[in-house]
Amino acid sequence: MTGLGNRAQPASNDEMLRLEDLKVHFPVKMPFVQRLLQREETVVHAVDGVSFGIRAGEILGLVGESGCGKSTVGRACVRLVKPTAGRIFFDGQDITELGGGKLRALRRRIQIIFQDPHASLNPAMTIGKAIGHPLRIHSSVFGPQKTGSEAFGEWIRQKVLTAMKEVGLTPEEQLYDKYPGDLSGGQKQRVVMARALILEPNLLVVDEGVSMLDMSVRAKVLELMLDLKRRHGLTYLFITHDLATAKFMCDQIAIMYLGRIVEIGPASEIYADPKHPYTKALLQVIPIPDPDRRSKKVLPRGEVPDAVHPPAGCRFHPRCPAVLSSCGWEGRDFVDFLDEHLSDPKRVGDDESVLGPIEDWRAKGLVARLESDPLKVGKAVERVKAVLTEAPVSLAEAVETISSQNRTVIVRFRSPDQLLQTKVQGRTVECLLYQ
Amino acid sequence: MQEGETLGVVGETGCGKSTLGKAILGILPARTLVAGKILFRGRDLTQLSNLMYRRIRGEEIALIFQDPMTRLNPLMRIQDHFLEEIHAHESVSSTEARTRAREALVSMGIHETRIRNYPHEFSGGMRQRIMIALALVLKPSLLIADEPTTSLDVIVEAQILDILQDLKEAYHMSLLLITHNLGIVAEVCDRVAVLYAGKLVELGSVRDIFHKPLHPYTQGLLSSVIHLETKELHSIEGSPPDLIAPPSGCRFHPRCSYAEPICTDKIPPLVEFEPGHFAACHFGDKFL
Amino acid sequence: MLSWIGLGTLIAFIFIGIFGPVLVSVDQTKALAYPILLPPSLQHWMGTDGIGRDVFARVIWGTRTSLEIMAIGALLALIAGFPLGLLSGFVGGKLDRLLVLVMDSVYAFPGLLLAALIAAVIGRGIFNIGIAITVIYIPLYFRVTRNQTLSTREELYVEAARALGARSRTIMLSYIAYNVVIVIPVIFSLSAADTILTAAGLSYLGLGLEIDIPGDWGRDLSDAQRFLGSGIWWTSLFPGLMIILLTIGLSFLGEGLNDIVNPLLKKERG
Repeated sequence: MTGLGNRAQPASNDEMLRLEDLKVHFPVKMPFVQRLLQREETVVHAVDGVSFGIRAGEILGLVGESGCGKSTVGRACVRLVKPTAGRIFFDGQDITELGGGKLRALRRRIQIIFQDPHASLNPAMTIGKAIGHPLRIHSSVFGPQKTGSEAFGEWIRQKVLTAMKEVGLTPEEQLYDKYPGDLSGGQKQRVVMARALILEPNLLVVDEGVSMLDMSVRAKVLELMLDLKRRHGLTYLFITHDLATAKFMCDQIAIMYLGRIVEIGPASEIYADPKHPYTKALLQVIPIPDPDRRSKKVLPRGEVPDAVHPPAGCRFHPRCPAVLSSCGWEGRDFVDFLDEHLSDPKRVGDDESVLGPIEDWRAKGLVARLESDPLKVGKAVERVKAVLTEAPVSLAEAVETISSQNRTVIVRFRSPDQLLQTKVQGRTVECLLYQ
Repeated sequence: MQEGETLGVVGETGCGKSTLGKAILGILPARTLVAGKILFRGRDLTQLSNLMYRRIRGEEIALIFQDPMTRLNPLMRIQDHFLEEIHAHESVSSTEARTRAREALVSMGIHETRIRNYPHEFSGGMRQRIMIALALVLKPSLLIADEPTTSLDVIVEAQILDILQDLKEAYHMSLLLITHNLGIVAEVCDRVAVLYAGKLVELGSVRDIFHKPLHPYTQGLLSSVIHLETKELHSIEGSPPDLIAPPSGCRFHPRCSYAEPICTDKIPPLVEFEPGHFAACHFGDKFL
Repeated sequence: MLSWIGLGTLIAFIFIGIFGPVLVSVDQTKALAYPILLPPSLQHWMGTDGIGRDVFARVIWGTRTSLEIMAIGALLALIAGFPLGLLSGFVGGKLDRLLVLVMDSVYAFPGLLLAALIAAVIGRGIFNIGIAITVIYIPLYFRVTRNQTLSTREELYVEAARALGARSRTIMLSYIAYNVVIVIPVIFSLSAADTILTAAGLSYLGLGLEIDIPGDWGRDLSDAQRFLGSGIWWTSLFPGLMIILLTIGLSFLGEGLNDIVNPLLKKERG
C-alpha cells in the first residue's frame, strides 16, 4: 500500500508554512447601480498584508479580536478562500494558485478545525462515516484497490476506530454508529479532530477550536491537541481571541488588528514585555480570576473600525493611548473629533453655528472640508484653530494647514510616517514608537 | 440579594442560570412549572398577576440579554424604542420622554444625534450599550444581565463592565450578573452563586468562592479557568447531566472525585459552613 | 396529530382508488346504465346522475383518475424540479439566474390558465393532464429545493467537507441533497392537494379529460350544476365532497409533516 501509513516528511527543516504579504479582500455587497457609480472598488480589507512563518513542530498563535481577519488568514491557508494578493508557501512549495488535483492532494497535508463543533459535522452522517469520509475522498491514493470493495471498507473502519481511540472517543465500537446529535460539544470537537487527522496531515489550522466549549471541557481538548502534536510531529496555526489560552499553547504569537500583524515574536517575550500599545491593551484587559487583584484598566477608546475604509497610517491610531502626531491622523479624525466636541453637553459658545452642522463637513484622505458661506469663512478658520487647542495634542500637531478657498474651509493634515516592521527585543513590531 | 450589591450567577451550559433570570422576570414560556418563591422587596413575584408583573418589569426589574440584536426591533429607530418603553410605564410628555432618552444615550457614551438611527447602524458594542440605556431609563432597582458581554470582544467587554459599574453606583442599583466567565465575576461581583444542573451548589462572598471553594464542582470550575498565569490545564471529567433524568442524590456525584455512597443516596442540603458561605455538599467542612 | 388524519385519509383514498374499480364495475359509469336522477337508495347509494350513471360508481372511478393525475403530476414535477433546484442553488452564477428567471415566469402565470393552455395544445387524457400539471408545479419544487440548497450550502459542515478535499459532486449529493430531501415530503403533500384542485378545475371547465372517462369529479360537478335549482343535490354533493376530503387530507398531511420537519431543521442549525 502506498501513501498513507507514513506521514509525509517535511521537505525542509525550516518553515512548514510561510505567508508573504497575504491580502484577502472581499467585495462589498451593494446594489448594481451603486456599483456602477462608485469611483473606486469598495472592498473589505479583511487581510491586508500579513506575513509570517511557522517552523515545523511549532505552534504559532494568531490572536486578535473579531473582525481582525485572523479567521480569514486561516481559511486562506487551507485555500477555502482565495488570496487577493501575496504568496502562501507550504513546505517550500508555492500553493497560492494551486488548483484541481494538486489542491486536493494538498488537502491531505493541511487541515482545519473550526470553532463550532455542532455545525462542523453533517447531521446526516454517523460518526464512523464522518471520520472515515476523508479516506474515501482520497481513496485514489491507496493504490489499485477498488474503492467499493469490502476489504477497503473494513480497512477504513479499522483506521477510524484507531483514530477514535486516539482522540478519546471511547468506547469506539459504540460511538461509531451514533449521530452527531447524540454527542456533547467536547465529543463533537474530538470527532472533528479525528476526521482532520485521519489523513495524517503536517499542518493543522485551529480556528477558535475551544471557544464554544464549556470551560471545564476545554482543558481536555487542548491537552489532546498538545498530545497529538507531540506524537505526530504536527505544526499548528492556533487562531484565537483568548490571549490566556494562546499563552499556554503557543511558541510564537502574532497579534492582529484590522488585517495587519502589529506584533509578532516568541510568546514568552511578548507576554513578558508587550511593546505595541494594542498588545498592551489586550493583555491588560484579561480578567484575572482573583478578586484581590482587581486593577483599574486603561482602555483604548471606541471600537474596532470597519475594514472597508481602514484608518490611514497605523490602523490603531484613532484609539491608541500612546498615539503620536505622525501616526496617521487624517481628515475624518478631525471630523470625528469635531463631532464629539459639538455634541459635548458641557460645551458653551457658538461653535455650532460657526462650524456646524457636522453633516456639512466632508473628509477625504488627509483633508477635511466645510462648505461655508463667504462671510463666515474667515471666522470659521479662526474657530477651527481655537477648537484644535482642545483636541489631543498629537492630532493638533498633525494638522499641516488650516486655510480657506472661496467659501470652503480646508483642514489639511501632514502625511503620516511610513510604518516599518521593526525588530525590538527579540520580536517584530509595527509601531512608530519604535522606529 | 442585598440592595446595591452585585451578585454573580455562574455555571456552564445547562445549569439553569438563564432560566433563573427569566423566572425572576416572569417571562418563561406559558407551560413552565414554577414552584417556590421569588421575594422582591418582600413581595412574592410568583403570586403576581400579569398586570402587576408588567408594571414591575422595566420599572423595578430590568433584563438585558446576550445578543442585543434580537431584542431591538430592526424597524424602529432608537428614539422610538425609548419612547415606547417610557410611555408604557409612565405618563410623561413626549418632550420629556425624548429628553430622558437623549440623556440615557449620552450617559452611555453615544452621541445624541444618533438617536434617530436604526439598530443595524450600530456596532455590537454600541447596541449593547443601547440595551443597557433602555434598561436603565426607568431607573429600576434591580438589573439582571444575562451574559451581557459574551458575544463582545475583550476590550469592548471591559468598556461595558466599566459602564455597568459606574451606573450601578450612580443609580444605586443592584446587579444580578449571569455568566460563565469567572474572570469577569472576579472583577465585578460582591457575591457569587454557583449553579450546577439546576441546583445551587455554593453561595458566598466573591473572596470565599475564589479563595476557599467548598463544593468540588466550584473547585473544579476554578481550576479549569485558563488565565495568564496558568501552568497546568485542568478539567472536570464527564459532562453535565441530562436534566430530564438527573443523577440521584447529589447531581454532581458521577463526576466528583470525592464521592461516597451517601452522595448517591441523599441530596445534600445547602449548609452555612461559615458565616455567609453556603455549600450543598456532604463533605463541605472538609474543605474549610 | 394532523399528519395522522392526513395520512389516514390519503391511505383510504389510495385504497379506494386501487380496489374500488375492481369491486365496482365500469359499466355502472356508462351513460344510461340506469334511469336518470334517481335519489340515493339501497340500490344506488349515491343515486344516479343526469345521464343515468351511478354516482357512487363515478365517485369510485373518479378516485382512481384523480390519484393517477396526482401521481403523475406531482411525481414528475418532483423528478424534474428537485435536481434542477439542487444544481441551480449549488452552482449559482449564470445558470442559476437563467433558471430562476424561467421558473419565476412559469410560477407567476396563473396555474389553472397555464394548465388549460397546455391541455389545449397537447390534447386530452390522464397522462396529458398529468404533464400539464407537472409543468405548473415544477417551479415550486425548484424554488423550495433551491432555497434549501442555498442555505445548506452555507453551513459549516459543507465548508468543512470542502476543506477535506471533497469534490463538488460529493458535496452536492452526500451533504446537501441529504439534508434538502427532508423538506420534499412536505412540499409533495401540499402540492398534491393543489393538484387535485387544479385537475378538478380543468375538468370543471370542460378541458382536460376525455368525455367518456369512467370517473371525473370535476366534470361531474360541472354536469350537476344545472340540476341544483331543482333540488337535486346528490349529483353535486358527492363528487364535491370527495374533492374536498382528499384535498384537506393531503393538506393536513403536508402541514403535519411540516410541523415535524421544521423543528428538525432548526435543531440541525443550533
